[in-house]
Amino acid sequence: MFQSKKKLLTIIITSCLALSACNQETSSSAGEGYDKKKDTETEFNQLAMITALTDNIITPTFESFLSQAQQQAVLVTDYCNAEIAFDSQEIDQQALSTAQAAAQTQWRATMDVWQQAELMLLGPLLDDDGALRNKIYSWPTVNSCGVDYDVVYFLEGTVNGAPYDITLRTPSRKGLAALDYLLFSPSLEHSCDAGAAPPVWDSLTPTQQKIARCSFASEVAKDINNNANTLLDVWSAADGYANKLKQAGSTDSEFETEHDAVNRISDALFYLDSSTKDGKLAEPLGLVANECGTQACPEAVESKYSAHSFANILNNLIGFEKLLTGNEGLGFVEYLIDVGDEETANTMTADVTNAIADISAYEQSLAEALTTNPEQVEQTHAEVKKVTDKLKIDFINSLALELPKTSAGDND
Amino acid sequence: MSNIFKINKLALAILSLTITHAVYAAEKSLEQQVESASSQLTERLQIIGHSDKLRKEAGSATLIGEVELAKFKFDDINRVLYNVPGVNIREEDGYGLRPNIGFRGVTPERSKKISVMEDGVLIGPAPYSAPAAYYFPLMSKMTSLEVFKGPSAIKYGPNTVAGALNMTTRAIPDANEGAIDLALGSDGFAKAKVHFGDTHGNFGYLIEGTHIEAEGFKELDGGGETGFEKNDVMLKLQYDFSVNGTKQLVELKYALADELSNETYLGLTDDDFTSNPNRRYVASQNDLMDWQHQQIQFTHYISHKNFDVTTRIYRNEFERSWYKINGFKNGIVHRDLQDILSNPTDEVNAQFYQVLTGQRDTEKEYEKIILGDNYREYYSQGIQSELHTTLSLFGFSHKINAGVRFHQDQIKRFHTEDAYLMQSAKLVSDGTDTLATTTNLEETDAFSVFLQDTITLAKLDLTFGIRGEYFDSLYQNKAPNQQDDWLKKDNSIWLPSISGFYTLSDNAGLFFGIHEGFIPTSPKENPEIDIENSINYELGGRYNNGNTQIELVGFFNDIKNLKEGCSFSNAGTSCELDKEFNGGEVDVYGIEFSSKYNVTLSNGLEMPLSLVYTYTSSEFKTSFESDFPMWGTISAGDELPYLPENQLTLNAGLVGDLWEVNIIARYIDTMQEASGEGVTLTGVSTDAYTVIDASASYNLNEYGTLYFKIDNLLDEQEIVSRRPYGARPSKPQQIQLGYQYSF
Repeated sequence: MFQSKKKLLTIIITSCLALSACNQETSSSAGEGYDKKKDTETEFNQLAMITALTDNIITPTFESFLSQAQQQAVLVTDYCNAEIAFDSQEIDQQALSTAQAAAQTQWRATMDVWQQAELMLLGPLLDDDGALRNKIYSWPTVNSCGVDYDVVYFLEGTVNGAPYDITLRTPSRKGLAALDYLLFSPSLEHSCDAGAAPPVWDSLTPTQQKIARCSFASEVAKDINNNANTLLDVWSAADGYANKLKQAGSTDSEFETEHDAVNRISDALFYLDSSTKDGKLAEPLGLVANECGTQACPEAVESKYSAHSFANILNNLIGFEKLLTGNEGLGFVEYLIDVGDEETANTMTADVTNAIADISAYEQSLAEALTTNPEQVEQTHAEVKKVTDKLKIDFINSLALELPKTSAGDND
Repeated sequence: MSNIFKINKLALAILSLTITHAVYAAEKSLEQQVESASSQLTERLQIIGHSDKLRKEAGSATLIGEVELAKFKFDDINRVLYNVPGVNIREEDGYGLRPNIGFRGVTPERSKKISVMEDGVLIGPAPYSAPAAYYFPLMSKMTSLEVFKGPSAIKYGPNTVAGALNMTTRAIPDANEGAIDLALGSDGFAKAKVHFGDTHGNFGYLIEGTHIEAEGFKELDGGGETGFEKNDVMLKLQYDFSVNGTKQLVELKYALADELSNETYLGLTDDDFTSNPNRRYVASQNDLMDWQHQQIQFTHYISHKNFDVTTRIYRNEFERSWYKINGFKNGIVHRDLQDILSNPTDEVNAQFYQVLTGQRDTEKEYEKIILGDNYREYYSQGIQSELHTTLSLFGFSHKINAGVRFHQDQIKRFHTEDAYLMQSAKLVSDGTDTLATTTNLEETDAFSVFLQDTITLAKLDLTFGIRGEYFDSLYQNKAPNQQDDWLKKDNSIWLPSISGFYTLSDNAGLFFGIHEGFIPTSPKENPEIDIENSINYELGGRYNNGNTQIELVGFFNDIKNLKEGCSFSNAGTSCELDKEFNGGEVDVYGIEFSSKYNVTLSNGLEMPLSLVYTYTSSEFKTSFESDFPMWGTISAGDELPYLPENQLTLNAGLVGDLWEVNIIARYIDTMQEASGEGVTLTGVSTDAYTVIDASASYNLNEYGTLYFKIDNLLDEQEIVSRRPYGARPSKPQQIQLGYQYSF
């Protein structure tokens, strides 16, 4: 009797263990619209395109930016030295103007490259809520009053009792946007509210104010150069983001598949939609909310002191075009053609070309155009929108890509 | 359907027939039942017996009965559950309107990983399709509460990794009975509860109504509502068909409930919390939860000699609209609310913070505030039948408990968003059209069975159990032109368990248990996402001499793949709604200790004492990177979020003939807000805190009972959580004075 009981218990326990070993099954079926295909089905060499875009376009853009930033640091310092020399009557006005113009021109050249890099916000430029990108260029967060304060803090060498250290300062007080103000603002008046003037500013002579501003501009330009160096270091290091992109799909890669890396670059292209179309055109036009309410608002343009707004948009389009076409290398156009959507490839290429031509035709600044000819600016907005409309639908669908998460609040 | 399932189903069918045959063929009959059918049904609705003797069930199970619930008259389930070992809670609104309850380390988020039942029936809005329990029954109307963990949870699905919570509503009285309970308290608290029931011959009825409201303890900038109103009405009708030795009755239960609460997901920055933990930013001024719940349940109970069968048919309908701040419109600048409130000094965040608090008007498009209406409709319906019997088979005495359930549930989502401007510290519509964001449907048909067989071998009671779940699910996108976006899944799983109780003496015994647990994936989730699956072990001892009760349990949950899902409540908008994430292998282990002791003082006073302690530890076994905002970059050895290592609850009372005073003190250890690196709340923890509640009552004999209670005697508030958006406080001191009259 005891033996039979023992046997039965053994059978029950064994059955339990057997059930536990292989006890689950799932089968499924799905509609075509569910979990839309995560990759294209052609033999297109996506890794080759990633490598081409990285090596031929993105890395050279960052290298070019570093080169321009180095030159900017030199020329802004030269300009400030010229201010000091002019004050001590070592040089004449002509020499000073030449130095100032050289600094301003170099800022425009540096900004032009950076505006192309804005279409390449990837990896280190996105980490920590875009901290490195914001140090270089904080727009649309700009704060000229904050810059005025930092001019004084830098002059005094201390801030809140601690030695002034520009690396610790918030992004809107430095970077290319601060230089826009420091190098191009026509007025030596501070830009703060009347009751919140920077300390000692109003007690400085105009010459002292000029030297204070240019000294700080020199510090800002050096900081931009340092950050450009940092960008290139972290981008190009052996374990840097460029190599991560180029090793997509390999074991231990950050990107499980090559297509994931393609999607990351595609996300970057959407800058043209959210920032260029909406932030740089729709917002100043009053198509969406701005500081003037919902009307054309020259105050809302980017780079308003240098009147460089159209150039910024132009370079955004150029950066976009390079990534789209591959800049004579392998780019998204070839990919679209490979998956059979030559129409989107051709249309987008043509639309970008048209938008570039449209922008290039302006002979006035965006702020002026908003005042004198807002209809034309609306047309420019429409030209850019043609590109982004294709980007959001045909481009994404044909290449089996996902929209960036941040595109959820679409304005269209 | 899998072959395994077919074979096992066949085996189960044969076994069932054998059992059924054996029931009727059993030679040995039980003692004649003397209880009424109604009393027997009550026992079946409430699973754990009230006996003062040593319970011999293997597996951890805790009962909080009507007498204990009456001591503090808590309306907040969280405060009740601190008396149960092995429970981890993330508090949210201070009133327990939408509790977050987990057992033995599973995520407490919206209690979605435990099986929540009312009167033995699943009560979550859609337990399979959308397990987040946005509806939770009114604690005030419950007469008892049971928590099952370990192998004892195997009979309550679908979620069997952690356990089950069953709450019991008032039973129809055998004779004329009624009561009125009125209370007023601070922060505009008011409660009115009334019930009346009677039994005339074979017919019995009960009607119960409860209204609770509070003005709320939060202080909205610029003024405004922050309180709530809840109503619950329940009707029970019963007819007893018992004849001769066969007890039989039917019962109909119908209940309606609703809630209007000015609740928000928006919390505070840590600095603002320090200044005033009860502050609410003006951006939450339009936030409002509005829900209605309807329940109908038909129960049939029959018992004869040594078996009884309880069958229930049920349908629950729930619809809710929660209009609340989701974040900013974003676009050119993108920050979510959690980012903004976690790091408000960042200059970009500071701009958003100023808009949130009304210090600055919306200027830019990306500074518009988005309010979402997450309108949802749910139903949950089914039929379930449960058999208890004893029989002799193969030379053993068997105590059989078997059940079968067919269940259907569905959720329909109609989520929309509106854009607002902050203007002069008021939310003003920007005039744009309401935008549909999520319009979809998820539904599940589930068939489940369980069988538990307890065999007595001298001093050892061995219980073998198995649970089978077979369910078909459907996800369908209902947005325009999205009809091809659908997914159908067929799932089957068998979950075995084995447990035992060894009787050491009349007062003491040891028990052990091993069971497999699982938690299903949502109908929408990609079939490639694994289910959460675990093997759970427990070992314990129990002592009860009638005056002293002690239970000590050690548990170890070997989770093969921890699964988490993104919801507004845990992650806000920082991940894709309903997206699920694999967390790999995780171990959760701990110790649960509970004891009760009743001291009789020389002057005749009674002094009941109890102590509940839980130690829990956890660790991810693998390193990985996750987009889930509570995880981030996980290194092997990292601990789970929202799991306090130590929890201690001490109850002490003094009971005289006409009066009673009770005090309850709880200590909750710190909890990590996130497990790994690289997410917003990395390295941030809630503070450890101690809360003391006190209550006193005086019996005025035929004139009723007066009671007085103070929740949070020390009036100390701590951050109980920083999710979904910012720091949230525990409830401040609340004073309540009440009067209860029973007849």
